[in-house]
Amino acid sequence: MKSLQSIHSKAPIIFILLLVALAAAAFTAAIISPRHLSTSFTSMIPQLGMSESMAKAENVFTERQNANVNLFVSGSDFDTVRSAAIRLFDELDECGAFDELSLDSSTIDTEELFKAVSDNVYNLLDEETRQRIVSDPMAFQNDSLASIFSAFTVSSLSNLDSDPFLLSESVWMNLLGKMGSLTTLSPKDGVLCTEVDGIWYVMISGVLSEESQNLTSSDGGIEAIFKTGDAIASEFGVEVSYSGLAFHSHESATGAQREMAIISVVSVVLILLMFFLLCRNFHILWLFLLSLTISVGSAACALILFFKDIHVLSMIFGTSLIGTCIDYSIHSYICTAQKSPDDAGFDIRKKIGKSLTLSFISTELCYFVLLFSSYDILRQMAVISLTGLLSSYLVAMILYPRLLSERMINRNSFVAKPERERKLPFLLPWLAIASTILVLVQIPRIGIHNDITSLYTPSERMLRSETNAAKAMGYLDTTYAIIEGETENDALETELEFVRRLDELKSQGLLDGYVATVSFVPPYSEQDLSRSAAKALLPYLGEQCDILGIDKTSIKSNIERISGHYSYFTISSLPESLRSMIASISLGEIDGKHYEVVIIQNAKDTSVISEIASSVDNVQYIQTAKDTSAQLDRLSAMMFRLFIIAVLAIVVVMVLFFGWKKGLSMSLAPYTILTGTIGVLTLFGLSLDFFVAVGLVLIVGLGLDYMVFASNGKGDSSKKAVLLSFLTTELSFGSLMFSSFRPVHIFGLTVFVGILIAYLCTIGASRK
Amino acid sequence: MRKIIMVFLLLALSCCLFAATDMKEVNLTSGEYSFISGAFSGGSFIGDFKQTKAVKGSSRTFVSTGRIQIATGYGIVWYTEKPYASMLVVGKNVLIQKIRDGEPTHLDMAENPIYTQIATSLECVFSADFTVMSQMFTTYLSGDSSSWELRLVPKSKSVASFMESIEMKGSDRFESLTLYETTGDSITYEFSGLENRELTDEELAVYSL
Repeated sequence: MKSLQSIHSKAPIIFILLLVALAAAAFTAAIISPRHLSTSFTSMIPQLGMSESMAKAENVFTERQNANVNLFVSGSDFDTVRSAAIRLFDELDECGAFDELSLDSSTIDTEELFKAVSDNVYNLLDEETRQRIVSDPMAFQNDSLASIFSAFTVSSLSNLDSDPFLLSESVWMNLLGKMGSLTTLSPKDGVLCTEVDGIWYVMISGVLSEESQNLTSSDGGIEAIFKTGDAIASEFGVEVSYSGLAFHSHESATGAQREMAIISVVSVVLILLMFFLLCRNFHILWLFLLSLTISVGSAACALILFFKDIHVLSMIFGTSLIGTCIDYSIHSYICTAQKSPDDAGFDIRKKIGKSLTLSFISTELCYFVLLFSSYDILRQMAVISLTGLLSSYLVAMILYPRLLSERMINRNSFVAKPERERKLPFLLPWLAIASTILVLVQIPRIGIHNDITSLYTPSERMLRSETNAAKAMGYLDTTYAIIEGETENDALETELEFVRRLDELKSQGLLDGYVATVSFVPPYSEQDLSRSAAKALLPYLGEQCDILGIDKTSIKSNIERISGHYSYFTISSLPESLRSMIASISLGEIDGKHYEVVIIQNAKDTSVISEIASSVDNVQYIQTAKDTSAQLDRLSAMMFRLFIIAVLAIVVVMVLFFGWKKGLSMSLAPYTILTGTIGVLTLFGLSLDFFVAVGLVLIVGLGLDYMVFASNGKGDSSKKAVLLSFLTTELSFGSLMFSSFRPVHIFGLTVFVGILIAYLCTIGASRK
Repeated sequence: MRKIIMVFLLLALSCCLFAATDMKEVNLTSGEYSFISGAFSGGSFIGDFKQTKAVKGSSRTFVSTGRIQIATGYGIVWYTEKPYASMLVVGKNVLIQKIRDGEPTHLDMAENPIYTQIATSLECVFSADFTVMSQMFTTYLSGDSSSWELRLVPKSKSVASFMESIEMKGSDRFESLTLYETTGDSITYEFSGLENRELTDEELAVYSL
């Protein structure tokens, strides 16, 4: 007995020590290996059939894409547009939001390119030129003479000594043609521009610095870009359009932040008002804040300890802890308010201990099953909730008995006053039947469906910006494929195989074009073929040199150049200016493998490309919106499956705690909450998506708490606690349904409907 | 110090050169220089050309002759006849080459924005479109209607990366054009028998081969 008392007295210290140890472990883990907070919605959802390394390459590409932005200055007068663009460029260059900024990004260092072509001409012959040489070398020789004497050649005749057949001409023609795929805009007077329907568009392209991409920064990089652009637009009477994922993310995030701030302030004010009216003081808030701080703190530490890449969505999901912290605080407080003066803090714990424990176990079960998911995001949600909930439970069981005192209670308040018992009909079975009928009626419309594109509606400004960008750039829709290879050459060989198939589609009009590194750097096998074709010209070298007046010493050096030892042309051999133009698609080495990206423009039928990609080894075709939506469907389906397992486990726990009859009867509650919520949401025209699934986990957990407290509590004390808990949850989470940010709106609506049904179930089940 | 002296000498030399040829920057659209546009046949014309390609650092030249056809809005066609037959069509968005008796080939390069600039430059020069010429080049002129010399320096960095300048000479008619490339090479076209007339359907068909 003495040792039990000793444990009781030391429990708070042990609990605090455990929390400190957890914080220290998380801190140490973060120091040893810094954690990364991911905000990309797609990054935490592994693509089906994609290897881990391929997914990593996809992330690298996505991050690069996120950092790339284009600004378009447009207007009817070119000179005004150009002046405005130059001024905007200068001001943006000074604002420090960019790592790179360019006004004429397609300017190629011609001298450097001439040299690269001249030095590697025998490695770079395209397939058509090779065929022309091999099929009839003599005819090719005559053609080359005709080219040399023709009206215009791109390549310089001053290199004839080292390139007597003017092979560089075909290399140049091919290269310049391929460079056209990099941009549809033309350089003019030092800017990159195009004219569409009498409107001039001048493009400024840039790579945002990591700091300016920070979505939470309200006066940082992107906001500064908007301000600068808008000021230039009004000063010069031009339009400035902003194109790039970062602008959308920023606008969406700042809009959501502003909205969330308003909703939070209003709901907090209403909750405070409610607490004051019902409790006549704010002491309950201190309990709640203590519980919340410890709960959120320990959950964050556990997340840092177990995961290296933490997703912002997991953190958002962690806010569901507020609900449980409020519930435990309210139940402890109201139980204290209703206690007899002789009861000590530990007597209160005894009274609500069973309810708290059962509520804790049932809610933990809902989250526990998520641990077995193959998705990191679900495991993170599980860890954050399990840890937070455990802390919250321990705070209520260990700290509250010591902290709750008589002076915290206003005896005149609503919660402290006993009320007459009212006899209520046992409505739970009827609610269960009604929700079953509703679901049966709605069955044709019930389905798991996620559409990531519907989650975000761009503002009018961003919509207009992207329309202008599409007009200027000439294409609207791009998808991409990632190419993997053990080495750079392996990747280029695979890429060549893939783009040859794309060429077939292009010739059939099934796509507009593509951008690929292999257009500029042929793989070794092609370079070998190029060399071999050039050798076929050797028998005609002497005659060619005689006609062109090239001396005999050049003949010898040419034979050596064509048939001697040679080194391959690689990505690093490309001139710097061209290499920087393809930098975003040439991912380079990631974890010991080489990756390239092929950007496909305006594919008419993505399923054909998907088929081609799956027929070529080490090619992964990505359609972000479609793939992510499909993955979210799988994720949601998995959540629903795990959820059903959790609910079945809860039924077992209920039966164990309350016996068969009462246990099964109480189990009608999670069933009714689930079916009722799904039925009502479908009635609103919503599909069962990821955010509905997340909301359902919360409402079943909280709804069960209501049932447990109502059935195991003592009369009005529990009913008042459940009422208070219901109102706070509706005000805090239900109010989120007023958000225009669709994921938040769906989550809020699910919680609002679900908690309302849960409360009705609790009232309907509290038969006296 | 040596560098400064070198720069000074170069500047002095270039001043002397411009002084010697009495070149001054002019605005061709001002209307003062209609004698130049009068030297061009206007609209479309066909004539003979002699082309001399000079290579930097070599006394070697490549001379060829043939016929040239220019149609405003369509482009320029060179029918090289001697010593080796070829045909080249340079239009705004089309680049067609035909070597000897082979099939005409559409070159991908036509899609390149830099090419489009070069093609536009050439077309405005050959057709004496002063408005476009002034937009694309800084223009210097010497002489008068009896004998004039026009020097065009491209404004666009992209065009300037290929061509350093163009020199046109004429009197009451357009006589020659020299294109100086950045590589140091040059091409001179000398024209004769330029005939101003509407092109036949057959002649126009070459632009859409």
